[in-house]
Amino acid sequence: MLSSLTDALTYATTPEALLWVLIGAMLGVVFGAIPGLGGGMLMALLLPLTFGMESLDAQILLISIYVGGVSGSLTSAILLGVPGSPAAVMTTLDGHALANKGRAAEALSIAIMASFIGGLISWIVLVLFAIPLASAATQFRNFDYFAFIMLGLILIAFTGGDSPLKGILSGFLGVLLATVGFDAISASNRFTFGVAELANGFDILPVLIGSFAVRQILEDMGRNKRPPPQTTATTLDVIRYLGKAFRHKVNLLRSSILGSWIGVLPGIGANIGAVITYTIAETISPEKDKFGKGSTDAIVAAESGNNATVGGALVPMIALGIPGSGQDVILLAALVLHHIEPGPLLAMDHPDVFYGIIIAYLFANIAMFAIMILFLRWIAKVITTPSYILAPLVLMFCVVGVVATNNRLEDAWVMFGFGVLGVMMGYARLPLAPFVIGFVLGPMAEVRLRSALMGTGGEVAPLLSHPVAMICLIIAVVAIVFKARMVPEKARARHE
Amino acid sequence: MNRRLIDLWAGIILLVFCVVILISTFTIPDPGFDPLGPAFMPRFAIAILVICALILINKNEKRPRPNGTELPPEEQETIRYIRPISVLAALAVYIQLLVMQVALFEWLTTLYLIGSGMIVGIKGRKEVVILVIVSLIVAFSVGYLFKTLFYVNLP
Repeated sequence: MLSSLTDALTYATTPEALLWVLIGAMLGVVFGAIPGLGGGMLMALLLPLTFGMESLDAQILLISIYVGGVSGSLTSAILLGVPGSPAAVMTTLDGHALANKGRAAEALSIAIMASFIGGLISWIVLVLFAIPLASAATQFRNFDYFAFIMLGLILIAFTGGDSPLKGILSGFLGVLLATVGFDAISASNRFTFGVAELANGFDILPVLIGSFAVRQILEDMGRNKRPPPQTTATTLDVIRYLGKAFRHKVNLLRSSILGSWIGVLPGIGANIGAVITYTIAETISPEKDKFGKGSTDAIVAAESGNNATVGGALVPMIALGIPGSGQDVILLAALVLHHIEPGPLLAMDHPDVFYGIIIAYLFANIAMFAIMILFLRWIAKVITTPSYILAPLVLMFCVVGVVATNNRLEDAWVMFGFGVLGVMMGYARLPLAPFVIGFVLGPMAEVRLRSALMGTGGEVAPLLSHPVAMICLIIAVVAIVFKARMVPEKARARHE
Repeated sequence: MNRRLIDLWAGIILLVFCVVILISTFTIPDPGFDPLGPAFMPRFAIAILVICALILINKNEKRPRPNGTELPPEEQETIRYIRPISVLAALAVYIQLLVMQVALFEWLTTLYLIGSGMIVGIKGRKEVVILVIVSLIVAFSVGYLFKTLFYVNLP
């Protein structure tokens, strides 16, 4: 292993490989920072172009875009209140609130450092535990996944607002709307009302972009919002703020390790990682009252957690050939394009690619960190762009982004519809984060539960006998009781 | 509208929505090979939503009646509706024209950016010039990037 790792390190330090890392990270950061676009979409668009490249170079480029995109999306989440992916939803809650207080550079610096540390820790996890962790993740059964997803759904209901009732309502509205279209198990049409375009359901990007971006821009316009007072920062300011992330070092370490582990769970980890780390931090943080209002502790938890899931999600991808997230599917496709069979034999048959991916992930994190720090002072100036240019531009990018994802012009209408819904939800003070997470996790929970029950012939007892499922359900019950006690206290404190 | 009425109407609208969706779940065909069936999840979500809506309405009934202003000071901000609605309308027109493919993406986008920018608010001639230049550059750059390099289906 050590010699293969050294070989991969030697290759990754060649000028050509370093160039791909820099190009990928730069493109990822830029695309991730533009609302509506995102690193995942760029990876999909560039996939055919990687056919002519060396297989390892293609992986290096795509992984660098992946890492850059995840970190780039924190910029739009913090500056504009528009998350580029479901993983950045939690960052939006506190990052944007802090930016609105005129502390945009501080929020960005802390988020970047937390992302970087999260990435580094998950890289260590990747190097040390790739194969054992991937094997452990395959021991998860459908009931375990279902219980884990339900835990995520319950936890998210309590974030982003003082009313758990509205959080639950919002979350299950997302679950309900996610059931539109073909049912994954029976292939029955649900709520399509004879409209052929609804058969495939709603894609997550138009839903996410519509509900967050359109709502945010229209609300800002309606309130005639002006840019916050502090919108520029020198590089020295940025570096000074970076250290602030280490004031939450326990949270940083805990969220990074937890994010790495959650990322390992195939298919669900990347979406739920930030939710779990954020909620745990909120529960035990000394500044829990500030969560959702601009807490630096919250930003650290969300960003280290979501970036760590990237490394975690690479674990089942390279060790077992099971994609941990949508972006991992593209990485797998790039391997197949180059006639490399992903799976447990990858480390033996193609050690250069296996260890090259691991090294590329480390270098991509370093490149992302350097690029974000160097360009942060210009990125932060986005806020000062006059609204007559910024608002139409963001909406235009949203339209182009959702159309490009599936090459369907009609998706722009879906985005528009969810934008209107987002505005209505904002008017009714229903939090958006639970809605989006419910939309993402609902179908997963349904498929896992129904598959599990098909396997047991409708018997639900195994749900209570599986240890992982049991633990998740116990945590969920404890969380409900704990949070239910917190709410009257908060209400009383507000009243006083 | 104060928060009390907003919550009340949100609860009522949600209840009506749930009833309509619940009725339509009975039209979902069930092949019958899994114990729960395709209608289970929508009905489960509807059940939770109905409970939440009823609690929302009930809580609202128990809340003391407002005397004068009910919203806390930080929530009493003036919301202007004309500009956001105009921008939303411009976006709807832009999307429909793109779907109908009445002109090239670049020209439709330039027009949309200029039109929306004007709705958002321009104060002087210099700003108009900046807006036109930015719109042209962005529209044609994005068009080239996505249509020519990425083969995205834009008109």
